[in-house]
Amino acid sequence: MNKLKFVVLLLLMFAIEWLPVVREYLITPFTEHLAAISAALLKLFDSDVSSSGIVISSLSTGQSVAILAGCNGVEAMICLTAAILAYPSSWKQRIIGLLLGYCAIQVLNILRIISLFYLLQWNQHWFEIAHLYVWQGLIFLDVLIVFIVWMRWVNKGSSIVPPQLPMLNHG
Amino acid sequence: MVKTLFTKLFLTSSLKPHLFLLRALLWLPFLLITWYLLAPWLCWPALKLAQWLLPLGLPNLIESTLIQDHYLMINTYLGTNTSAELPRGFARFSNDFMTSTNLFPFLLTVPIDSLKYAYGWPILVALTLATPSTWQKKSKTIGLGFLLVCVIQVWGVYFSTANFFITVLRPELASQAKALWPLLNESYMQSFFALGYRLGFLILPVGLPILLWAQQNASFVQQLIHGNAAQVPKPSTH
Repeated sequence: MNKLKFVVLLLLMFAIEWLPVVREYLITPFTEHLAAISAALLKLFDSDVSSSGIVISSLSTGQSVAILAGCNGVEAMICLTAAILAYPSSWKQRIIGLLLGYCAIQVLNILRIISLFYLLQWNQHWFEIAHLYVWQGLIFLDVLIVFIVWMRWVNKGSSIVPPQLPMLNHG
Repeated sequence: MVKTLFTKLFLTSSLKPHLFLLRALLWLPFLLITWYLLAPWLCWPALKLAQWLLPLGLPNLIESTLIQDHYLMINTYLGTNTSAELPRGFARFSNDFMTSTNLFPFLLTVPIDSLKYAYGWPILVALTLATPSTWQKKSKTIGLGFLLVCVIQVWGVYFSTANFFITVLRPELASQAKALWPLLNESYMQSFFALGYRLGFLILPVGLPILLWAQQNASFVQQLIHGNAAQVPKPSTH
């Protein structure tokens, strides 16, 4: 992987995501759709849920979660995009990797939103721990997994000869 | 059977990605709990460094700082006439209000949670423990990871404090901050602090530790990618 290309792409996309016009016409509608999908899934088995825009609420407790920047998985998608674009492969392989990768990230992200919604109803303290320290890391671990699986797939389909690898010891 | 499963999950040098990831995920809950319980000690070096650097990086704004568990309590010079004008729980009474030229009896104290920038360390440790390598190499990666996370924490604490002064505070308090450090009025500085905060909160805490793990275990990552299981040596202990 071209590390410099990865860093440049990452910072560039991160800066673009921050532009007001991008936030208004791309990120906010995307986040609203994400909230709507999460709420629709919740309503399948829980009639106590209502949603409006980026906010999902419990009708009985009145507690709500708002899906803000940083909670929509966009930063994880940016990291994956930068990594895949910086890795030598065909455009077809990249597009397949990006589409499946985005799906993997957003499936886990919806799981995160749903779990955090119920965690908030149960205990504010554990909600904060899961929200700030646990899920954020798991989403990026998901990016790593997707990227490794994609690189394996790319290399299986190519005629690239792997370098002579050193012996490894276990610990 | 349990012994076989344990050996397969934690000891054998399998290079199959799914087993490696399962190993990492099995380590993760234990490491996250341990990390959370030890947080005040683990965050202390970074907070000490931040205590020293923050008044230099945010001149004229900070009276003093105090470490409380994994929080850095930042006592600012920003003030109001009543405690109700400050965010709830963020007010302190000015000690020298009666004897000095300080205009305000109530001053703002900002608690900054440094743990928000440190959760990459248990992930790095989980990945490292799941990676087949010598204990010396694992220790080196974990040690380097700790130093890296300390730097990320200092970055996070600095930029979240600066961002707090610019975007979170009420206009009257933000105006005081801008009067005390006029550089905060510049739009490029506001953009710089906002970008630094977002990078420090969203990307760096876990992105850099994962990159460090990949860099320290480059040959293992290559084997994960190419699936070259034929070259795996027989298990041995180190």
